[in-house]
Amino acid sequence: MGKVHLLTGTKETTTEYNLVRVNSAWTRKEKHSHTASTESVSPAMIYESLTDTGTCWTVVTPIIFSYKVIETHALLDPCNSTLLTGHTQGPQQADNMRIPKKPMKRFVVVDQEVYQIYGPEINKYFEANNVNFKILALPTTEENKSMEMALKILEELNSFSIDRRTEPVIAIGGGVCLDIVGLAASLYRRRTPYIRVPTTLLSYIDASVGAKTGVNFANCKNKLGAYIPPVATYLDLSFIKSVPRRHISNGMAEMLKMALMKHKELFELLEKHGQHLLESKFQSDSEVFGPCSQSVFRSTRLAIVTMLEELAPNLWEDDLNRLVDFGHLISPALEMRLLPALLHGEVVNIEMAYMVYVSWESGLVTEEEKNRIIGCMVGLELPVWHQACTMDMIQSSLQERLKHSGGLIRMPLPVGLGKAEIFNNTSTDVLISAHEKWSNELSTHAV
Amino acid sequence: MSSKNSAQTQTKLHLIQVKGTWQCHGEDAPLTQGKISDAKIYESKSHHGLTWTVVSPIVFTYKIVQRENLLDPGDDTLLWGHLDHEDFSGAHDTSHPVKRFIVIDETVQQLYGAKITEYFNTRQVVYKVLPLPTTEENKSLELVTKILQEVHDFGLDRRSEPIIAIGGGVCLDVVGLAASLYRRRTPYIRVPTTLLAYVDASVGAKTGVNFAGGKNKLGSYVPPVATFLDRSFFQTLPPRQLSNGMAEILKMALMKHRGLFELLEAEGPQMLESKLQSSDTGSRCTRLAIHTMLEELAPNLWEDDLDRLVDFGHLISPPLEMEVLPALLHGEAVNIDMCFMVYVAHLRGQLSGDEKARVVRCMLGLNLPVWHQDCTLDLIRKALSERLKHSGGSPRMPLPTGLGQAEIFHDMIGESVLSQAHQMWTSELSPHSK
Repeated sequence: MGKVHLLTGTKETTTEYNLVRVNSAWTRKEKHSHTASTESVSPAMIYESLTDTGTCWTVVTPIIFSYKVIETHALLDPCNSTLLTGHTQGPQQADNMRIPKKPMKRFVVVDQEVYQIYGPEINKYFEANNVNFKILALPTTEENKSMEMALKILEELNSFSIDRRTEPVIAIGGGVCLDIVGLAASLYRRRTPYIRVPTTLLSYIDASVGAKTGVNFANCKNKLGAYIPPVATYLDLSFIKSVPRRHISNGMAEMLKMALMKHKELFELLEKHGQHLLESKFQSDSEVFGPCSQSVFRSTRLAIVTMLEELAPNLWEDDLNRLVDFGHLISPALEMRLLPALLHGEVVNIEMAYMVYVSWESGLVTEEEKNRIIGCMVGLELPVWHQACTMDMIQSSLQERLKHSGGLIRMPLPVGLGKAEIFNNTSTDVLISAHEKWSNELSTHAV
Repeated sequence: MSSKNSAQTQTKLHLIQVKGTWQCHGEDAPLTQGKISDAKIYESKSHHGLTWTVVSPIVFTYKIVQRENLLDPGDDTLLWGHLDHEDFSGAHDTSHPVKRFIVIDETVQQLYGAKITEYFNTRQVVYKVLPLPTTEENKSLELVTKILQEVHDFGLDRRSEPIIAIGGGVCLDVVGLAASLYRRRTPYIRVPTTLLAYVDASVGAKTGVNFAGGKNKLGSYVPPVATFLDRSFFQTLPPRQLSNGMAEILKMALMKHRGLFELLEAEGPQMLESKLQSSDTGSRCTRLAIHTMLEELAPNLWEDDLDRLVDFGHLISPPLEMEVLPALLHGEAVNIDMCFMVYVAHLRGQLSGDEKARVVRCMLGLNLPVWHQDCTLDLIRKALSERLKHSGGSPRMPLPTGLGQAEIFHDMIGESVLSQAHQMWTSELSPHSK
């Protein structure tokens, strides 16, 4: 959150002003002066300091970001109104959205592969609901995650023409799709509402839940972007049905991340039911489960809530100490280097596996805990080692991290199972011996 | 179609951080331990599943600092003015050098380049100056990308090394957008060198570039950490640029400050003559302009409320400006729009004939164009219907209701008033066209 910076000194006087609206104009009024009940007062403040060299004004304005994350099922069933009006405040507002003479308009960006599978259903949904719609199917891959693609979306969006506030752009796809569309929407008219429909497990629990949008730039991951959340995210597990097994493991890496950082029960769920979840593809009605079907919901909900808890108080990353960075100090560079051989979650997991050894070497987790974690990772069919993750790569990534994080490493490390802390002073010796042990024990698991 | 989730009870959850970990707690949570966030999560249940609503306030803080001698190597402001006084001495850790990346308008570079390099050399800053042709025609994402490439190659700390933009509105807008995008947010500083930028572009949060023929179609609402206002830059401004800036000052006067209008009316020509260097009238004029602008922008930084007095002069001017580019400067197009709207206000009985005449005389005294042949009735109609589309179904038209006061109207101007106004405006003022 912002601090107020006030000039203080012998030759200065500072006056605090509220902003009050009367009819159409805003006026400033000294704080504590009388305000009639008919006037509305803004939460914004202006501080004015008069010094011998001139005037200084400090503006302090809170902007409220509000967004919904909604579990639903059968999102593409034409009778389910969520996709069209789920973002509105209530049934009253939903009715107001429909001006009888004017059909609803929606601009929809869908990942190409997702469109191949769900295209007919998506088209049917909008047709059945009399929506004036346009679908843009794009190859939203990591390699294409660029400003060029965002511009392509913007050109089409601009031609289609949507209302500034009431016709949100809809993104249907994995993390890359949601990130690019989110950025395009954030830029258009300086801010256009958009909706996320994650279709992979990774995006379901990660990309969909926070505010970050972005594209790669100069061969660096997510170098350009914004912190504008969607108006709503719709979570429908049935999309996961058509996700290849490898991509489901990929998503489970991010679930495991949250478990290791802050939730022992989630870890135990993944440890015990990981294989079931993979087999069933998170479909709770799958026969694989039997009495464990509730673990589908329990695990995804825990993953989402633990993520929301960490993101909501720090939406714009004012605090650079972030538990959710676990697995993300080295993986950006490693991922870009290995593209497209490894998926995001897989690279994250490789780093997490290494970091567990750092924890162990630092005496923060026991050998048994370390083994349980690695066992769980292997059970989730995730890679736990990679030859490209050399000490050189680790050290140069941590150097970058220093530059990117205000001069401190801010390394999240597990402290026991399901708990973590942030460390700034892990010695190079520890990092090196952890690397040795990690390589000795796990290089046999190499992909 | 079946209706959505039926009414649910919502549980309000507080977010409390203990030992670096955030956790949500119900209302009866022990709030004594740990740090509580202003953000909240609301959880509700329906037959479909759970819904979480996140409400997270982000506080934007920025400073606007007036200085007389910004480029004097003895003045700290350009390097440290964005920080608290107390942080000044602590800010610079002498073990590594201060780094700054500066984007400057090409024309400004020619006039002030030497002074700027002298400033940074004297203070032993590791710096790079990037001069660019920041004109309206170049105000594009390409220019932003160019800046981003150079910033990336130069290397900046994520938080403590703000990008500095020195130039007019276009420069400040383009750099602001680049800074908003880099690492999702990089601090930046604005140093306006034109009058227009001084009173307008520098004071709010908007950044942007043109796109697909539309003005400012892409951008963001991320404010700079600070804006440094130094009137001495006006000394090198051509007269046309000074008048251009006065248009935005006049806009605020017409909307909400009779005293400012009277100042422009009485002292406009002299202020132009002196390039606003006089410490009394020039200073009073710019102060009032900033006050009035800040009052309107601070409570509505992200334009959640589409009713904005500052939109006066900006309903018709965007397409007009783009149509005749580069014939009219921004303020000039704004003035033409304002002048037409003054005729509309008069025909609606909101301004007397005398008030209308005073306004037009003031505009002429400021050497601003009051009419343009390309501002046809057709262009006006199209502009207003775009406005309708762009503003959630209402034209939200700010119109004067007296000298120095205004209201926002939600009804469209009737066709007969529109054509009458255009006719009257044209017959009275077309002789003044340049």
